[in-house]
Amino acid sequence: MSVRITQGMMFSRALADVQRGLARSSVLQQQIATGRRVLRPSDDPAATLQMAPLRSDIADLRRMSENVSLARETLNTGASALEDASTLFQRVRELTTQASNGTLSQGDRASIAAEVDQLLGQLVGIANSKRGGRYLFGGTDDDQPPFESVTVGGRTSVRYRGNRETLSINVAPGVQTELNVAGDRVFLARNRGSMLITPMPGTTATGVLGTTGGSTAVGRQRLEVTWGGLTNDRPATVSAGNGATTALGQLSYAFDPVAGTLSIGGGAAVGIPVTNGTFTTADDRTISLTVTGVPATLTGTFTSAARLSTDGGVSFTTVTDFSLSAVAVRSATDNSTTYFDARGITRTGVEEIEHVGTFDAFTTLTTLRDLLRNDEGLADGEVQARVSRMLDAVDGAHEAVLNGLREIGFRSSSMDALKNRVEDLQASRQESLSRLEDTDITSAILEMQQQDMSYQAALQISARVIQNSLMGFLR
Amino acid sequence: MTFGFGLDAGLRALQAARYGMQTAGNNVANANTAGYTRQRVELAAAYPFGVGGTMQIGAGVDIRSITRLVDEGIERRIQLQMGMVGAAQVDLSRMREIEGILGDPEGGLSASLTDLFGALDQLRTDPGDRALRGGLVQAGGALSQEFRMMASRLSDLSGTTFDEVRGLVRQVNDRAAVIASLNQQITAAEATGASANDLRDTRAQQVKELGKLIDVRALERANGSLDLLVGGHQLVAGDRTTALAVGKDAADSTKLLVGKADASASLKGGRIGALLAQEKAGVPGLQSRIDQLARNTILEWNRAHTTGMPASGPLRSLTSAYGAQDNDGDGNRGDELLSQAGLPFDISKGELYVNVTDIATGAIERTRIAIDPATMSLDDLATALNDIPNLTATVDPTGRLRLNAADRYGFDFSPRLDTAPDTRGTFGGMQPVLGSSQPGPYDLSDQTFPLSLVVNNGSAAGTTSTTVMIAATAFQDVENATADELATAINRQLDPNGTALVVGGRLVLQGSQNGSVATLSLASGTGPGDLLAALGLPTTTAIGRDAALEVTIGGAYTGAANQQFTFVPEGNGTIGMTQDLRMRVLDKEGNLVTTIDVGAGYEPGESIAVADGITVAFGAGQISGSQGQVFAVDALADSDTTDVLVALGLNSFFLGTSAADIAVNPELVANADRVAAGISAAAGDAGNLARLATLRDVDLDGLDGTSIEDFWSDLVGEVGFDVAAAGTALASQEALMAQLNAERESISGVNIDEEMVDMMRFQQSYEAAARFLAVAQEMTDTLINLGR
Repeated sequence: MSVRITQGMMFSRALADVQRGLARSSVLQQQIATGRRVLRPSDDPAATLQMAPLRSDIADLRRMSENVSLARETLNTGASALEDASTLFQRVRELTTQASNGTLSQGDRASIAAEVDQLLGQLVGIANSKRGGRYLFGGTDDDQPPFESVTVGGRTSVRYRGNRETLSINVAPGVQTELNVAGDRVFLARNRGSMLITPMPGTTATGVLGTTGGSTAVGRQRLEVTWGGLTNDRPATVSAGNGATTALGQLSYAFDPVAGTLSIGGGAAVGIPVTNGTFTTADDRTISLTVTGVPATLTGTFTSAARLSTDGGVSFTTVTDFSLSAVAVRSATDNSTTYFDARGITRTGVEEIEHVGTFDAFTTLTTLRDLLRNDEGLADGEVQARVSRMLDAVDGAHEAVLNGLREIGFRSSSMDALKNRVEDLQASRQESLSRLEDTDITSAILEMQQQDMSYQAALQISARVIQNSLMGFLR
Repeated sequence: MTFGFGLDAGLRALQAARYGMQTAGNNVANANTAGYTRQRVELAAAYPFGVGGTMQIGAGVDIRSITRLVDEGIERRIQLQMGMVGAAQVDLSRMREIEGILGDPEGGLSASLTDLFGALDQLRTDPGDRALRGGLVQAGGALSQEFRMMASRLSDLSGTTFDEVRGLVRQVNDRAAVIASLNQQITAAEATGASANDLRDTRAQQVKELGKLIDVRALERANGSLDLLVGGHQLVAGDRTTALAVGKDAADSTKLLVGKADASASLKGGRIGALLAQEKAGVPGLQSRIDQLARNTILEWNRAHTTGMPASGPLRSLTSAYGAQDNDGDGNRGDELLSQAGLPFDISKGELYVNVTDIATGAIERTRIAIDPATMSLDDLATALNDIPNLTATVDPTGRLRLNAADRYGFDFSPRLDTAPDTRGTFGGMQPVLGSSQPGPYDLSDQTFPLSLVVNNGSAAGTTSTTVMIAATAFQDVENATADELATAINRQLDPNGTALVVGGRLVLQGSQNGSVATLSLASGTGPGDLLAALGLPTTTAIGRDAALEVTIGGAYTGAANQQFTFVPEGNGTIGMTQDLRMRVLDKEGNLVTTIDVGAGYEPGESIAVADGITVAFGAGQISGSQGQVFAVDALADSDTTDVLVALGLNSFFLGTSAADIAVNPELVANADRVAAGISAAAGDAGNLARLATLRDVDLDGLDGTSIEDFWSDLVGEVGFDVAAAGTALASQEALMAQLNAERESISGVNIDEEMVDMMRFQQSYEAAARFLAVAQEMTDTLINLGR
C-alpha cells in the first residue's frame, strides 16, 4: 500500500463514505416509515423463509376462527330446534297425563288428538329445520327435507331420507367438528325389545307368539289372523266349505263309517256327507267343511292354513307349516316386516301388537294420536289404559331428544373454548411474524440518529480536510 | 574556455525549468481528468566537455523525456475489475427485477395459494353454496393469473436481453473505433521516438470503459498500438476494427458475434457477459421451477378433481379438453397409442372406474377399465367406454374424447361407495340364487369336455331344465377357468331361463323368476368328475324371496389402495333373530377381513362398521350361506390410477401445463356447479374438497419432495438469498475497485501540494539559471573589455 495520497483520492473516499451513510439512512427511513423491516425477500431471506408458513398459519387460523363461529351458530340453531322439540314433548306429556287420568269423553280425546296431530306436524317441521338453506338433521344429504311423513291406509309413518354421513370442518389445528347431526339418531331412536301381543278386547287369543329381533315394524300394529283354507294333507273326501272357520293349525279327524259321521278335533260328530257343514272342536273352534264320504284312512290330522296380515288384509302371509318359529309378515302400508312364532296358532282372531322400545319421537306421537282418535271404538277405560301406557314411550322419546340436545350442546360449548384457543394461537403467530417482519421502531430511530450524527461528522471532516492544501498557505 | 559556453548551459537550464513548470501546470490542470496519468520531466546531466585532457566539465542539464507515471499491472487489473463490477451490477439489477416479479412476501403467488386453499376450506363449510363454489373458481382464476403474469414478465425480462445487449454492443463498437484511431495517432506520434502521453491516457481510459462492457484482453505491440481480443477473436488490430454483432441462436437466446465468429461462450465478465449468462441460466432456471410448480399444482389438483362429483350430480356429457395428435401422420388421431398421443400429462398403467347412474333410482353401474398406455389407443379407450351400457364414447376429428350418457342416465369417475351394491340381487334379490363357495379360477382339468350343467329354473307354472354344454375352447386354461369365462359360456345357452353372474370373482347362477314360488337347482351332467363340486356350487334347491332384502353401504373408504370387499353369509338364518348368524367379509385376495354378527341382537337397518371406514346395514329377511348368496362392494381409494382423466382433461379444474398457460377450466367458470365438491351425489358431501385440502400438506415427488406452498416460499427465499448475495458481491467488487483505484491514484494521481512544491522548485531553478546567464554574460563582457 502506497503512502502517497492525492486530492482525487480524498474526494472520492469522502464521497463514498458520505454516500454509504446516506444509503443506510435511506434504508432506516424506509423501515421506520413503512413499519416493516422486511420489504423484499432479499432484505432478510432467512426471515422470509420463516414468514411464509407463519402467514399461511395466520390465514388458516383466521378462517378457523370464522369456522368456529359458524359451527357455533349452526350448532346453536340445531340446539334451539331440539329445545323446541323438548318443549313440545313436555306438552305431549301433559296431554298424555291429562288423557289418561280424567274421565274424558270421546269428544275431549278427539280434541287432544287434534292437538297431538298438530304437534306431530310441528315435530316434523323441527326435524326438518334449516339453516341457510341446508337441513340440519339429514347428514350430508342436506338439500332435501330429511323427514317425510307418509300416511298410507290411515297409518302415518315418518321416514328418514337423509344419510348418516357427517360434514366436518376445521375449527382448530388438528381439530374438526361435525356441523350436522344424523337426524335418525335423535328422532328415530329405538331400542327394540320384545313384542307384546294382546287379543283385541272381547276376542279370544289366536295363540300367535312374538319373536325377538329381526322385525322392522315399529309402534303398535294389528295382526289379523284369518283362515287360509285347507292344505293338501286333508283326507280325499274333505274340502273347504264356505262357512265361518275359526280353527287353524293341525286338526285331528275321526270318521265313523258306521254312524256316518266325522268328528274334528275331538268335537261333536257331524253326519256326512255334508255341504258347508260346521264342525266344532272340543275347544270350541269351528271349521266349515264339505265332506263327500268316508276316506280310506279313518283317523289322522290335516292342516287348516292361516293367513297373517298386518296391513288390514292388503297383503298377507299364508302359514301352512305350523312348526315354524319365525314367519315373516310384511305390511304394505309402511314396508315393515314382522316375524311371528306360528307354532301356537290355533284360531283366527285379531291381535294387538306392541313393539316394545320402538317408540321413537314420531311413532310415539302417531300412536298417541291414533289411540286418542279411537277409530276402533274401544271402551273409555281401555283407551285410558293404553294412553297411560304411552307415558313411558313419551319419556323415552323425550330422552332421545334430550340426548341429542346434550350432544349438540356439548359440541357448541366446546366451540367457546376453541375460539379462545384459536384466537390465542393467532395472536402468538402474529407476534412471531411481527418479530420477524416489523421494524423495531425504538432501535431504528436510535440508529437513525447515530447515522445522522456520523453523516454530519463525515461531511464536516471531509469539508475541513479537502479545504486544506498548500495553496491556502502560499499567499 | 570557449566563447558562449555558459550561455548554452544557461539556456538549457532555463528550458528545463520551463518544461518542469509546464508539466506541473499540466498536472494541476488535469488533476480531475478521469484516467489522467501524472507526468514528470526526466532530466539528466548533459554530456560533459573534456578540459585539459584529464578533466571533464559538466555541460548543463539535458531534458531526456516527459514520462507518465503509470503501473501497467494496476492498469490491467483495473480494466478487468471494471468488467467484474459491470457484471455484478447487471446481476444485482436483474435479480432485483426478478425479486420484484416474484412479488412481495405478503402478496403475490403465496397469497394466491393461501386464498385458494382458504376458499376451499370455506366451501367445505357449505359445499352446497353456489357463491362459495364461485369463490373457489375465482381463487383458482386468481392463482392462474398470478402464474401467467409471472411467466409473461419473466419472459419479457428474458426478451429485453437482446435489446440491451444490442445497445451495449453499439457502445463497444464506438469505443473500439476510437481506440483504433488512437492507435493510429499514437504509432504516428511515437514513430519519432517521442512518447504520446496524453493519447495513451485517453486510450487507456477507453479500454477501461470498454472493460466495463465486455471481457477484453489487451496486447500492446512494439509500435505502441494496442490490440483488443474478445473471446479470443480480434476486436481491434492496429487501426482496424472488427465490429461486434448480436444475433439469436437456435434456442432463441442472444449470441454475440465478432465478425462471423461466435464469442458468446467464452465471455466471462462485463455487462454483456452477465446479461448473456442471466439469459442462459438465471431466468430460464427460475422459469422452469415456476413451471414445475404450476404443472404439479395442475396435475395434483386435477387428480382429485377429475374423480370428484360435480355439485349438479353425475355428468350428462363431457368432451376432453385435450385431443390426441396424429403423430404417425395417417390422418387418424384416434389410433394413436395413449403413450404416443402427445397428451400433456403422462398416462401410466392402471385402472379407471366409471360409474353410470340411473338418475331416477340412483342405482350405480360401475365398470373397471384396465389401461395400458403402451398398448391401448384412444380408440380402444373409447370402445371400452362405449361398451358400458347407457354411455356412448366417440373420438372426434380433433382427437378429443366425447362422452354422452343415455337419457335419464349420468356418469362420473368418482370413487364413491355404491350404497346399494346388490343391484343384481345375488344376495338379497327376489330370484333364487346358487353361488360358488369360493372365487375362481376353477380347476376343470378332471372334467370331461364338453362340460354339462343342468339348470332347473322353477316357477309356479313349472320347472324348465336347461342343459348347458361348455366346450374346452371356452377357456384359455382349463386348470384355471375363470368365473368370467364360465359366465359368458353359460349365459350363451341359459338365457332366458336364468343368468350366470360373477360377483367378487365367484360364479353365481340366478333363476329368472321372482318370489317364494321360484326355485333354482343345479345338477352335473353325465361323465366322470363332479362339475358342481369342481365349481363349488351347492346341490340344494334355492327358493326366491317375496321381498328383496336390502343391503346398504355407508361411510367413506379410508384405505390406501383400491379394494373390493366380498360379503358372504357364514350360515343360514334370519337377520336379527338367528343366534350367531354371521357375515364373512373377504378382501380382494380372498383373505378374511372380519366377520360381522347380523343375528340375534342386530336391529335390521342398523349400520355396522366393516373395515376402513365402511359400514353396512341389512334389512329384514333370511340369508343363506349354503346357497352361496354373495355381494361385493368396490372400495376405491383412487378411481383413476392412470391419470388418463388428467391427461385428456376430463372434468378438470385447471387447464394448461405450465405457468404460462394455466387457467381454470372455462366450463367451471361458466357454471360453478361443475366444481366437484363431493365424492357422492349428496348435496352436503365435501369429501372431494377434503381430498383437495390434503394437497396442502402433502409433499409431492414432482416438487422435489416439498409441498406446493413450501416449494414456492423456498423459491422466494432462494431468490432473496440470491439478491442479497448479488448485493454483497457488488459491494465487494466495488470495494476492490476502490482499492485498485486508490493504488492507481497513489502512483498516477496528481497531488496538488506536490505540484506546488515542484512549481516552486522549478521557479527557483529558473531564477537561478537566469542569474547564471547574467553572470556568464558579465564574464563575456569582461573578456571583451580586456581586449580594448
